[in-house]
Amino acid sequence: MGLSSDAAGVDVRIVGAGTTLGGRWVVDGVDATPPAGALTGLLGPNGAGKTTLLRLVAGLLNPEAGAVLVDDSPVHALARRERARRIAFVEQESASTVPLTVREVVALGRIPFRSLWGADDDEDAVPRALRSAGAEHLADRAWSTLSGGERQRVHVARALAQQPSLLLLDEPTNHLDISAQLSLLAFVRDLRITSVAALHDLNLAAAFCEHVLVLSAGRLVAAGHPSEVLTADLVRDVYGVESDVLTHPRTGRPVIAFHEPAPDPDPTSKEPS
Amino acid sequence: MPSLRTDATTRWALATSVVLALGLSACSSDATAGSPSATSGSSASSSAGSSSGAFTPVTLDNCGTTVKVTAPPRRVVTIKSTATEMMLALGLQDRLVGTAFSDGPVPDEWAAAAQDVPVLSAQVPGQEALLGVEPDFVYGGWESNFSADGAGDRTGLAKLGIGTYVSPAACKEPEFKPDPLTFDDVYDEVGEVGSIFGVPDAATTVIDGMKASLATATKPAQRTTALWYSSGTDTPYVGAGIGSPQMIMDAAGLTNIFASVHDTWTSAGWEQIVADDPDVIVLVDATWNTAADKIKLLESNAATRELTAVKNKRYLTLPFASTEAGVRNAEAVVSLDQQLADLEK
Amino acid sequence: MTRETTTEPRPTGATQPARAARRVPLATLVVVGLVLLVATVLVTVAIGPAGLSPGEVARSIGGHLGFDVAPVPRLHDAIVWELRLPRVLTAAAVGAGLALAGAVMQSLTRNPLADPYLLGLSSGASLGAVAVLVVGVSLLLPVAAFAGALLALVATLALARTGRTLTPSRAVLAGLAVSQLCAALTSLVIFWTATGDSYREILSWLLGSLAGSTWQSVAIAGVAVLVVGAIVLTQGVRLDAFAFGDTAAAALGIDVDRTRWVLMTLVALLTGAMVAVSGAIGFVGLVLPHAVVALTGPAHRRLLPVAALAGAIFLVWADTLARTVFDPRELPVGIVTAIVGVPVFAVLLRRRQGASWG
Repeated sequence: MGLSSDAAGVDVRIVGAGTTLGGRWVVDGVDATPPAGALTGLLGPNGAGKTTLLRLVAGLLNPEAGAVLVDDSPVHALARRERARRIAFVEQESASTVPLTVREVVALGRIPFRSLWGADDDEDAVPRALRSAGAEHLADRAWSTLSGGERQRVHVARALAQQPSLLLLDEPTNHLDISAQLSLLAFVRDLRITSVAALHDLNLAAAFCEHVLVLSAGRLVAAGHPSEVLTADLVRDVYGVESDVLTHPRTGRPVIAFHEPAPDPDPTSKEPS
Repeated sequence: MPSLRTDATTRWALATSVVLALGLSACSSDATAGSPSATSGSSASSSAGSSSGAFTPVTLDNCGTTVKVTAPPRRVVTIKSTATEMMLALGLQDRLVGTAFSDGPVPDEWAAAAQDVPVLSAQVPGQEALLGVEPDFVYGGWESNFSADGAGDRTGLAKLGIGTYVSPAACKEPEFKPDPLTFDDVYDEVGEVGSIFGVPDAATTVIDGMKASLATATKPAQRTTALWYSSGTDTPYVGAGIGSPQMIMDAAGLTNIFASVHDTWTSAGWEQIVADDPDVIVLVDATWNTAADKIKLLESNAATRELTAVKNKRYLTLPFASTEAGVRNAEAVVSLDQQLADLEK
Repeated sequence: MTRETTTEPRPTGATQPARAARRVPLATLVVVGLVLLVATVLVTVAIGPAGLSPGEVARSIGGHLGFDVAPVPRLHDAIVWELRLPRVLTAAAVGAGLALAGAVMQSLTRNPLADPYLLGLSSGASLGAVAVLVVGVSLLLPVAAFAGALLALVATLALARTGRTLTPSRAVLAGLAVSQLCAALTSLVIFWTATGDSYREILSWLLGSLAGSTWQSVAIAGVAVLVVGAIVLTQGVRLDAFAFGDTAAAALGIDVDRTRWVLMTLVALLTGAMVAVSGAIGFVGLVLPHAVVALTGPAHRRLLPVAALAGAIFLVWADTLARTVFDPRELPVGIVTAIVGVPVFAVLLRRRQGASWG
């Protein structure tokens, strides 16, 4: 797709990374190696530390313990602009009151490449990113008139304009219809750059991710291919929900069929999730 | 984002409160003619110890409030120099129990008489301070002196048995405001005050004295244009067409360059003044803005220092208290003509 | 891929859409703006209560610039060169500075209602100015106003920071607190000590007035605008990055905290200089950025210079109105900017009704 010269993506290693918030370790000693050039899913219940871990990988937070290495250099030691040319981060919710057009939003992704006077030596980067993200038809629309799904697509286009070797997405499928969710993840997977996406939908992770990392209370409790990792036991331990794991008839990937929670005599005694 | 009340709102609230302050406790230009003062102008009529008999009950309309006096007041508080000096000119210093908001020192001829009168406040006194001296009458130079946060409003004081009187030249309501202010209005005030205190002869003496004084004023031979510069730096505050500055300048034979503005005083721009290039500049000398300050400003401003009057130092100075409607206005007129004559020498 | 849109899909893959001239090129806007500004200055300097002919005005200026012209009467020359021209030029500089400061504040705080005085600057300046006006040392006014603005800024920043971080909402709230405090102290000073006509001067200053403009004011305001403006322009790309919030900006490689500190301080210095020269003129910083964004788009590299030029032109005309409409009386220009600014703002608000304001 001509997005970056090293389309295979970078080598990312998370080594014992951890950080605190208000005295509590919200990410605690995580060791992980998302495979290069593939989509890795980051799973776990709310509050497990997914967003924080993503921010550590993005270099937006400095780890208090351990390190995140990108191509063997610590991410937070990189100069900011350099980091922004390699790593793109798509937030969960990103609103703006500025009257931007879609083209202008995507052009923001070129900021790490622009000189002081705004010159960008790659004139084609923005149209290319729009095309790749399938948002070309939205180019002249006003940002404020887009639907949730359209906005998400434009955010991805903006990330692509950064020509990243590492793409980080925080719950990118939140506001999307089924079909849009499926297309987005398929698209990211097919980019073949190293990507890590925090997902709350286990089945989506099972269907599209090469690798999944499961967090619970800040710790990494499982890592590996979805068919190995996503078992009924894991689902019970981490999410506190009973399930049956089936096999998808076409793809062979796991499909998790959840059970209704049993009526609980004492509702306050649930496992913390 | 919290809903934002910006600094703009704060500034407008502040500006509004200043406007209210202007309305309530300061002189507002449109309504009153600066602070009308009631000081006697001529030395010939300094009437200490004048007759105190011949009192008849008085009912008069004063700025829309009816003033009924059945016996001459004995314990009087005056606010503003014009009121104080009116009392001294009429020889009524024995009845003064307090003065406030003086605009300048009392003229020498009455200095001894005024010496023992207590000063209640440098500004408008609060109601408690006022009542503390147990007055039976309050004579104010500005209508705004009688406000809730000042001496108290007139109806309220009346209920306490305290009569009030405002210098008529300072009435704010258009139907009571003199338009234009003339010496007859000033004489009327002297007469009214004389009748309130039962000293009509003293009043007549003062009035005659002022008239005689005016008659001695020698107007300049040729047309002399003048600027009446009261205060202000970036935007000068000047005497306009219908107040005491105009009255005094007319009597002195000076042509006010702002005579066409239908107001007592007005804010003007330096450009108009520079364009008109007045022959003389009348400087009002007040403690908060002295004549010397004004001269310094005129000489440092790159445009005004080119004025003929500034280059040749053709300044006529008057003390603030003599410029508001009152017993010193005739003295002011004579002073202007005298200073003008001195300049010509 | 599925399309999730209601507009018709455009053909993809073929030639990429030509870089449509949707927006007027920046160079054109700047040149037109400069031409309009120069024209405005020349026209307004010939307007005034003194009724001078345009020929006289031209000769007066020409004479000072070294051209060989017929002499002009001394006083008329003084009116043009010492009163009108400094005033018009100061108005231009202050208008430009306020518009620039307003645009930057709106971006930094991500609040479209922000204005240059947000960080307590105008209240602090007012306090300094009023204290000096009341004491009677009005020649020290610009210094006192500037000092007041800076002290208020220091107080605001100290209150707003948590460690090294300076979030926009905290800055705004801290600015509000400092403003209220300064406003209260200013009221105290006024009610306690103001006598006679100092009310008039105080009110005029609080509303904003260009009446006392001298060549010194031109120098102060002009230098402030040019220096700060040039620096801020280089930060244009960084300001763009703030559009989607701090995280997005950081992810784009911006040092969010340092950029915000630097820019807020620059805005404060600029605003302090403006306020020192002309009092707190309102609505220019608030309205002008919104007025030009439809023409320039939100990219700061384009928005800032055009907003500055528009601000200059606007304030020169507003001040001309203020000094001539009630001839020979003068209004403080802050009244005119408010009277004009509020309806313009209302119109802009309605036009953006469709677009969300967040």
